[in-house]
Amino acid sequence: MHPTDAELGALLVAPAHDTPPHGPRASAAVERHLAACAECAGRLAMLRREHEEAADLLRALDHPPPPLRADAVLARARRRRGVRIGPIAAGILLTAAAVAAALPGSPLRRTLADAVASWTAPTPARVAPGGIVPRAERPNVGVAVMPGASLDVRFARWQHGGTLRIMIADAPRALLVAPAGTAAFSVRQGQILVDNGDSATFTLTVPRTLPLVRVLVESTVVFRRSADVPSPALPPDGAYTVDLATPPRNAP
Amino acid sequence: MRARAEFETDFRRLFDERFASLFRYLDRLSGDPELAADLAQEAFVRLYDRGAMPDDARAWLAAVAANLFRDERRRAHRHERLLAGQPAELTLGAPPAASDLVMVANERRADVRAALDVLPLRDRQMLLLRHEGFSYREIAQALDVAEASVGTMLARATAAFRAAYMEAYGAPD
Repeated sequence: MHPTDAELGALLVAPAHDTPPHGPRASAAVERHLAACAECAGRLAMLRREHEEAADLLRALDHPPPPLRADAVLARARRRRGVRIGPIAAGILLTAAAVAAALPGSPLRRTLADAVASWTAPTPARVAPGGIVPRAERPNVGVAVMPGASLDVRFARWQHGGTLRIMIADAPRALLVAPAGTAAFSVRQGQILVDNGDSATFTLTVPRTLPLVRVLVESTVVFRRSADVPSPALPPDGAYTVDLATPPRNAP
Repeated sequence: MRARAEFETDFRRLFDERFASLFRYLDRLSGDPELAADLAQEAFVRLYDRGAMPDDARAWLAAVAANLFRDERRRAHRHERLLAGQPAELTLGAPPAASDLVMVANERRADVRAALDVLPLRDRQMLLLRHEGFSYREIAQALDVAEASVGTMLARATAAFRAAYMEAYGAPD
């Protein structure tokens, strides 16, 4: 009896790794049959050709994988785990604090009370200088791109105020957002074009592995980071800051 | 503590071995490399959350990725329905349309995409997993179908994919 296309298909990809649908005995039977049946050997060859043709077609869909490292994913997973574990830990501390409070004179009392206070105190609202509305209180607008070998961020014009903060991150995508002010974004091959307003502020996150990133205002390069050239030392706040104000205003 | 360290070592090795393949599978499935990168990364984060390696980590990752992709499609469809009921609005600062974010696709890519999209989602997943070297058993596990039916469904999916491409564009080069 001739094997079905499904049985022959099991031989197309990594046959040593595969478990044929009808068990090892069926597989051995198929192999024996193929050795003796030219018609089925021909069918298998045709299936193999079709498989390769399909593989070639599918390769046309491919993009290069993002330059992501296991460490970056582990860090993201740990951060998220920490966020979930935080409230549970706070609950345990609250319970422990209640027990300690019931034991006057216990040395644990003040320590636990301080710990509970630090866990449960609301985070003070951050007020950015210049009356900029904090990110969490204003919907962000921005653009994310998967860069190739280089990325140019081009601002259409100098502004009367506002800055660009540039952070380097273990992320696959470049992300440009305008937490304050107005701007419109468009994307071209290897470029983010920014139609900026008068005093917008921006935050640019650049993948650490990106070989070349440049920021231009009109046609002036105001920031450049290249894998070939040592980067300037990162400021203590973890971000480079570029002044987007007009050159006359910057002049002495 | 030691078990956790061993798990993280295994995790790193699996990531190095499998991330590119999982990304490629999701990229081919969705046609959106950014979404594929997000979902592939999320699948590995879920693996970390699990805290232990599954028996067949490759199939487990593919199953999680398939669920994430299905959820994302549902969310996207819901979003499209909501937008369809709203007047068109384009304010200064709005993000560009999604198509602007995707690398310019060449003609062949668009042709192959069109042929692939003819297939039902499960057939597409099956075909793409097979081309990532998945065995029948792993495909069955990842897509929650009977192993005995994988070969038949796969043969049908391959034939349908080639036929859709050839009908529109002729025999592959």
